[in-house]
Amino acid sequence: MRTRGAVFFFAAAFVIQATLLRGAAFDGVSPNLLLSAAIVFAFLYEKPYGLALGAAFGLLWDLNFGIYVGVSAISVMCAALAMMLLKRFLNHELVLPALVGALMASALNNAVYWGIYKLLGIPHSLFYILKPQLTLIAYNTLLALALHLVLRRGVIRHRRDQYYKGGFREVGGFRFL
Amino acid sequence: MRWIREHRLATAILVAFAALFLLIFVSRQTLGDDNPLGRAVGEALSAVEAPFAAVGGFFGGNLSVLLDRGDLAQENERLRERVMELEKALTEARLSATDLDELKRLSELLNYSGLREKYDTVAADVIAMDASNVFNIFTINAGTRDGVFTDAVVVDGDGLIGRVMSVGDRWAKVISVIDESNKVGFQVFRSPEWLGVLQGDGEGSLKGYMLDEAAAVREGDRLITSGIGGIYPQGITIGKVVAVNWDHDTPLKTIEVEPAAYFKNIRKVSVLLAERPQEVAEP
Repeated sequence: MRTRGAVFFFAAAFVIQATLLRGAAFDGVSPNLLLSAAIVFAFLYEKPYGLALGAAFGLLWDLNFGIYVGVSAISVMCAALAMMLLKRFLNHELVLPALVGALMASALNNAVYWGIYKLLGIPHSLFYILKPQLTLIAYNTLLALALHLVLRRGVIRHRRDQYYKGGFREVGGFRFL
Repeated sequence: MRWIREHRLATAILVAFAALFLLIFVSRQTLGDDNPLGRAVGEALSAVEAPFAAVGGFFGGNLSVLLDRGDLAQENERLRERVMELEKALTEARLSATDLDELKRLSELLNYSGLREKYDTVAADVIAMDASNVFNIFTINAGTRDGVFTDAVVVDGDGLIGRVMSVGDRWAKVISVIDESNKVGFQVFRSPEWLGVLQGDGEGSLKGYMLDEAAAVREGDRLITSGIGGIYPQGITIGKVVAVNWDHDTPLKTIEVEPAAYFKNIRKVSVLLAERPQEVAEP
């Protein structure tokens, strides 16, 4: 995917997140499409789209909704970084690694987000934050999984052809896009 | 320098983290101040978000409406309106004219005239909502050109929502009362001389204490804003008492309150503007 396409994807995710997705709330918890996009882009693409665009749109999110500017950007960056690190050890073509990665990255994002805000002195307790976490992490993971299934078609050509090496480079026994 | 050249991505990440932490620090120091960048972003995004929010509103705010519950939702809305009409008719039928006069006199004495009669208000739609699932912060499509100002009080049909955090020309950012540690003065609707103070408890509800330890507040009591010591004017429904405890250490009678408003699915709100001048009755 070209940079322009990735920017457009994140811009669309941003607007849909703020407007339409609140209608998809389950038990008051709505999924985080922006985070899911950052996670999947960081996992699938060699270029650091997920990291850079996740941080940029996280910053926009903070400017629009946050009490303090920069918290969402940092938490999304942490999640994207985690996925970039996981990519070194997991096969990013497969669904299960993507699922596990998305689960961990979503949990990390939420922990960093709450941790920074707690340091800044918000009144919310850990118990209150933990209450929706199960639903939220499950929701984000499913969304990331759906995005992974859609986007990997464009990333990995001839996925089922084990002899096709096009588009990959091998470093230290690992295959990278 | 060589390390930087060889590790461009790592350097960029470190610089980005440092810049973001600096930004957090600056935004904390300037909290509540007018932020030109935030205003510019708000203006641009509100123009984009409004049509999307309208589409979201069209679908009734729930994906299930897309499937098979559309008719049910509409019917539910119609039935709710009908119930309200019938309840009103029932009340009017039960109360004699004398009773109504007495109630009106009492409400005037207690300064309980409807907020919409006392204040100029502007109705607004929620066009965007925070997805952090921690805070209940949302953007509305009314701004300075509609008379909205920072710290203007926001209510909905159920009661108190919060206050305007920042405002632009055509948008305003609203933070809910449960997300702040600001104190809200309240009085018990059943017995308005019983006063107290509430604030967000960090659990999605409100906690507070009675100023008079002898106040016989009980579970189920409805609380309204007292208008004392804060930005919230008198007479707005806050919620109902769900627990009353006696704190031996302080010693204070503490209460837990369930907010009347449901913050997770707010669609329309009213912003209270300037107080209308009251007509002085002829002696």
